[in-house]
Amino acid sequence: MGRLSGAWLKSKLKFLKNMDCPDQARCFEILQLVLDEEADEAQRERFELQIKNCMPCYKRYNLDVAIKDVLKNKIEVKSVPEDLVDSIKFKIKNAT
Amino acid sequence: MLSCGLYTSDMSIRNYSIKQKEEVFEREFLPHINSMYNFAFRLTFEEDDAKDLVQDTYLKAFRFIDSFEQGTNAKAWLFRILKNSFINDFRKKSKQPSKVDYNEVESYYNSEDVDETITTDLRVETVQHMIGDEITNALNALDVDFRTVIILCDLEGFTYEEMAKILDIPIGTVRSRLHRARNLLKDKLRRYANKMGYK
Repeated sequence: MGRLSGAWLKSKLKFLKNMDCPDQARCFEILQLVLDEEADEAQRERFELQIKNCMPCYKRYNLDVAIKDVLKNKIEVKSVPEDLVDSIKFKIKNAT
Repeated sequence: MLSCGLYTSDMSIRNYSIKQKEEVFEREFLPHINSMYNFAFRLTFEEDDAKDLVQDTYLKAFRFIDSFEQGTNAKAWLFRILKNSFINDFRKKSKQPSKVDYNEVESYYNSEDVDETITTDLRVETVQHMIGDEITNALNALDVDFRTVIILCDLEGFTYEEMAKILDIPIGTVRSRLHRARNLLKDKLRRYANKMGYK
């Protein structure tokens, strides 16, 4: 029984994984609003429901979160050249 | 007048003394120099150009400081000036105008087949295991207008409303451009992952 259930679940998951979201343009729009903390309450509620029931949306959202996270945390932050602030202040002093 | 004011509908001119100007400059503008320099570098890819662009932006900000209201969003105001300077001065010099057709972007975003299968084989774990240089290369490979929205939103944390003001475009366009930019970035990351044999 356990083995049957496992096989059924696996095939179901495979089916869901390959399935397209029936309303993806609208859903992806809401996923982006949630991702960027721009969604209102109704959009957030729809999002919660959607990712529980739709594998493509669930996958899409998790991927978007991961990419946003690596962009924020893995891209090198350049140091400001030491003389830049002094150079700006010097030019302003001379201009006033 | 320089089109650097963020709040054009509510713009009023103040008359700061020299001392007040220097105080505003020091207190409200200079703390953003790290973000400004990094934004400039990600637009130009050259340290010297980034330095010139930031310097130019701060000089303009000081010159037009009377149109800045203390306590409002100095960072967005400065980013807007920097973006305009980049378009007006640096991009013209490099003779690389935007090749993006935004009508095409809008229609793409609204079309039924948007997103199709572009990223189905890019996995979360693959992205998480990529190193900074790989992410940077993918971002840098985007057209500057797409790169800019990702920088503003994901690296600098601006809201859609702030981005709309910085870029001088409607919020709907911010959303569609961001959506398209992210799809393009995913495609770059997916291609990179495939090339490197990442699972």
